[in-house]
Amino acid sequence: MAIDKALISGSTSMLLLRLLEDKDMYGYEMIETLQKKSNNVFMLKAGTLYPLLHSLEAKNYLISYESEVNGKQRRYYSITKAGRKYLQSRKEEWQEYQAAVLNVLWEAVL
Amino acid sequence: MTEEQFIKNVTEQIRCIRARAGIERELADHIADQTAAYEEAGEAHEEAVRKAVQEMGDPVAVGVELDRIHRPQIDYKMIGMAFVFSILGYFLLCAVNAEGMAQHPEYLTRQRIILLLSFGVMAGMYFLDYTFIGRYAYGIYVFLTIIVYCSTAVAARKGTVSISFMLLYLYVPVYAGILYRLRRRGYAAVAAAIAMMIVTTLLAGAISIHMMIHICLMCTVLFVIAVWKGWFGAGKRTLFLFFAGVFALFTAAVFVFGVYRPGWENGFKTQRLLGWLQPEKYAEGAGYTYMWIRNTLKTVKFIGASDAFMDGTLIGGEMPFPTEPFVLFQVICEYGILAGILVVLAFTAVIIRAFQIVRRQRNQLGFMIAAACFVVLFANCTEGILMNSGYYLISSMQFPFLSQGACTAITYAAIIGLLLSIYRNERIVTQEPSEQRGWRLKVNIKLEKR
Repeated sequence: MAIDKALISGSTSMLLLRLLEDKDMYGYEMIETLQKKSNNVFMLKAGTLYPLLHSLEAKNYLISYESEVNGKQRRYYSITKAGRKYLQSRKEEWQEYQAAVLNVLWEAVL
Repeated sequence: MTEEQFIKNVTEQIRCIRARAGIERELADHIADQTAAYEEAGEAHEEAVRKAVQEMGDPVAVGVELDRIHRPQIDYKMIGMAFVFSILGYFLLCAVNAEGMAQHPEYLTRQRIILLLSFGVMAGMYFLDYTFIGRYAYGIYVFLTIIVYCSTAVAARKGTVSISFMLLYLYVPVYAGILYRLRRRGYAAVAAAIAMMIVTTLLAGAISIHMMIHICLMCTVLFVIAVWKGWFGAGKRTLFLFFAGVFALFTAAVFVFGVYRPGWENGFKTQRLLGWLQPEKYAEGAGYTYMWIRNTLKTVKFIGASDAFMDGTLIGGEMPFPTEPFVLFQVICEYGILAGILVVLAFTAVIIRAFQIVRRQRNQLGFMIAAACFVVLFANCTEGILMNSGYYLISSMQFPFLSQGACTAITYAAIIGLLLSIYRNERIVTQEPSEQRGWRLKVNIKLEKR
């Protein structure tokens, strides 16, 4: 199902931070994992991903480091304490928004 | 569009050249991963690359977005404070030394030159890429040692005291660079870091015991931070125990060889210590200055000059110590407690800003050098404030922005300039500077089996 981009764009940073809450990842790995976890709903382009990752890093929500895996040098991203805090606030915001939308939709149906 | 064209189009949008390398590599890695995935799915190599590049999106849009993020930043707060406090410091020095300046107009010219020199050094360090300290730490260390000791030797030949001792504080950020170069090299690196700390401390000790203690403590702080951050990959507890032992031994050695000697109670350094610890008992000797400062401070007003100080009734004319480290004391006596509080607040603001810069750093080298700069500023300002209150061991310490010496001004300007450079490059130096660059001696050992 194709999802309206406007619905996704505002929450991409939240989704990326959520992925990094479990483990450190590199860019390509994030796109793949997000795609799998969302059943191919969230198909993020690299052109969107890297500016977003770099801006989250500039805001100190993420840190990056170089690490060699299977003979290949990769740039991994790791969520910071500030990132976890930000994610928590975004999650709460999102839950409130979701509940409000559902309320209105159900009310309209009933 | 080929992979090279895509990356070129992206990086062309990024104005900061030094930010490009890391981005280039990251995008190339991504395209390589995506290409491999397509090839695994059965695509021919050329087609796989074409598809992978197409998936990356619009290179210009990506480049513009990345350019917005990776720009040099200007720390207006620190620049503003450095500029304003330097100018105010100049006027304050002129005001408290008005008599001397009137008698020797050349001092005024000299002070102006020092002010301009410190602005020049600060600007130079600001525009320099601070990562050179990480790359050439050992070379800079040797260069600094030559400068300091040559000037000391020249001063000794002339029969004067070297004024370049303040430059010794530059060892601290250089030591941060050395720690950076030693990281991830295990226990041998720990031993090397401690050895470098001891060598640096002894080098400083050859010039001044006071500087020796300062440099030892500052390097210790940096070393502890490095261990705490896991730079050497060794167990923190083991390392701390090991280090505590070395430090205790070294401190004991400093005390025994530096202070305790036959007839120690009559020694100059011991007398100085006793005068500080028991000023009432030694009020006629080494404790005189401490008592003098404390008694004079009892007479100061909130705003305006202290009558006793101005009349010279407490001092019988001259101040019993060199005036330069006691600028704050003079300000309080001549202009009141409020003026003193303002000066202390100015130092506090600089220290807080320096601490904020340290905390912001994600880059390890940037963090450690910023921490070194913070430690130098914090230790000197704190010591100076305590010393001016008459409750801390009197030394030849110098305040930032309030010095009549060129070397002191250069040192503090370099320290603040380094902090500005670190802040400036915060979003540019995203990856760690290469460990392969710099000077390194290669020794090849061949083992042959007979």
